[in-house]
Amino acid sequence: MAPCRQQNTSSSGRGGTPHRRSARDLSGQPANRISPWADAADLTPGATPGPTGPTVTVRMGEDESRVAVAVACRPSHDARTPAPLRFRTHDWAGDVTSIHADREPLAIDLDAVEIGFATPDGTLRALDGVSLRVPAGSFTVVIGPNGCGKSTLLRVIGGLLEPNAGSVTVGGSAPRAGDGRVGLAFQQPRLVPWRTLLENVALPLELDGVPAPERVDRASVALERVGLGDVAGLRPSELSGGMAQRTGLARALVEDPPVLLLDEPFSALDALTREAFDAELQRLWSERPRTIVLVTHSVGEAVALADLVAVMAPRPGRIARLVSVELERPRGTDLAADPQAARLVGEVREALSEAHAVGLRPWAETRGAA
Amino acid sequence: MRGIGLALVSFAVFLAAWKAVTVIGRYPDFILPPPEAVIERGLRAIRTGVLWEHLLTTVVESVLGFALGAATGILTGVALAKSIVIERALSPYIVAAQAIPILALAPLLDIWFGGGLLARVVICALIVFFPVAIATMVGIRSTDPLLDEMLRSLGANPAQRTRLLEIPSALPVIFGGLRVGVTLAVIGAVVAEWAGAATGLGVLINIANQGLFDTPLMFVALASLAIIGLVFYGLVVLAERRLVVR
Repeated sequence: MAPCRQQNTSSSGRGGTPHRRSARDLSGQPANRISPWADAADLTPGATPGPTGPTVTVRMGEDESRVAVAVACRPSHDARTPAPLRFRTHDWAGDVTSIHADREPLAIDLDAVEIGFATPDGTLRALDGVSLRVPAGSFTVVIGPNGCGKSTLLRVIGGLLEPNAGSVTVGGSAPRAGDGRVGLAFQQPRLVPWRTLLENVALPLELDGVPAPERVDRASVALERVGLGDVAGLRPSELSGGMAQRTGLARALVEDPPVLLLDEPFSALDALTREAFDAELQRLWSERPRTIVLVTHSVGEAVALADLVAVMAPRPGRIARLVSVELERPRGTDLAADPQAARLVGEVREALSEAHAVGLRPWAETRGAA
Repeated sequence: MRGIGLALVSFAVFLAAWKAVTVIGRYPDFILPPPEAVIERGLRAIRTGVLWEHLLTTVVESVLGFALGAATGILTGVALAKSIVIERALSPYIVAAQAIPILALAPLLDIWFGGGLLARVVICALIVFFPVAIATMVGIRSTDPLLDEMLRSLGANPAQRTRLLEIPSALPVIFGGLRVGVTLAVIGAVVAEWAGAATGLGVLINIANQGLFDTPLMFVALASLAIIGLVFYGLVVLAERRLVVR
């Protein structure tokens, strides 16, 4: 059995009475068994942590809909799967998953950002006057056709690209790559091929000079969270595309940065696993709001996850429309039944089809189909 | 095991062919001695200690020369790969130094570096340097830019990126350069000995060939050089297997 670790609790005194809810409430339906971060379906309201059971803690915010149950560890594996990694015990014993728990989420501010790349045919305007305010602790989804500058936008926020004009701030100051405020999960998982999964996930900690035993612990926990605790010793070449993406996500989560930038992090996952990860992403976010910017091609995913959907258009890359999603949380996978959600999906889809350049429109464009 | 068996069979065939040529051609020993004469001469040279003395000198020179040439080659290769300015400024000299026959350069270097072991190590290192430097440069240039950006996003500084990403990903190519370099190291040692030395297999070849007309002894020296080269090459391959994760 894997030892459980206490999740941080915060702001329990900020009004309201303590609540205890089951994970069921988060997604509006019983959590799926393949749920990667926790066997949440095992929980019933008021469950007490037993010797093998999960530790349940409660976080209260001002917003009722954000009350969440945090499941701190993954208590049991299917009996057929190998035993999960055992954590070594040593004097380092803190909150494993939330080292920056005291940090407030940070706002992102883009003001008339211009990015141009020199090409043989002149300058390619990847971003043309993009302005976007992402409030601290909000969940923003960026959606748009290929080549509209979505990944470029994330690079700018992550401090990997400096705008040619305009300004970008994260938490009030210009972002700098590797300053610990922003975690980036890339579209391709970008794992180091000669390192094991554990060593890959531990890489950010290694660069920050975290001692080896603590690195192993924290990387193991991050791998457990994405359901890969039992294959930590494999190398990337031995993984499926979906497993590699989950490893990339674990690497972005391992330092628990206050801002998470996710570039199509689930594109290689099968439909059910993807739904489970969407639900877990909401759970992660509602445990303690982080500022999340997620790039996706899925309109359904965008409406299911976002507070704000930014629809981008190409040539030049720009934000074509902002759709604010004011659906109650938690949102389940049966969102299609909700008429308000259906209207929002339609709106995003319409903006998206306008964003396609006419010449790029495929021969059988379907409108309004789910 | 099968590999070793095959190697033994091919070696037996080689000896048989050699013997056949000497029998059919009836060459005198000073032109082409039969294999048994060479083996007999080799055993005698070992008994008297002559072979060991010369062999040891050449092994020391080529090991030190390889180490020096490989180390400077890798460092230079990294610098060439990382800086266009350094590459533009240095590569003409590096290529020119490689294009000038080492045989012509060796006497000069021998004078410059005092004619001792140092001079011979430097000559040997010079010939090892080029393939290692070029392989390192090419290997590092082929680092996956996506992985490099990933490391930058994690705040890795240039030194960390070189250590954690560029060197490991260039390693298979660098080892290609080291394989070439290690065999050149043996050639470099012999050339250096010809430029001026008292002992060494190169010296032994000169003595046997020009002084004593002892062609079997010359063949003993040549065989020794071949064996040194094979052993060195094998050691580099072993190191490669240990270090390169595939």
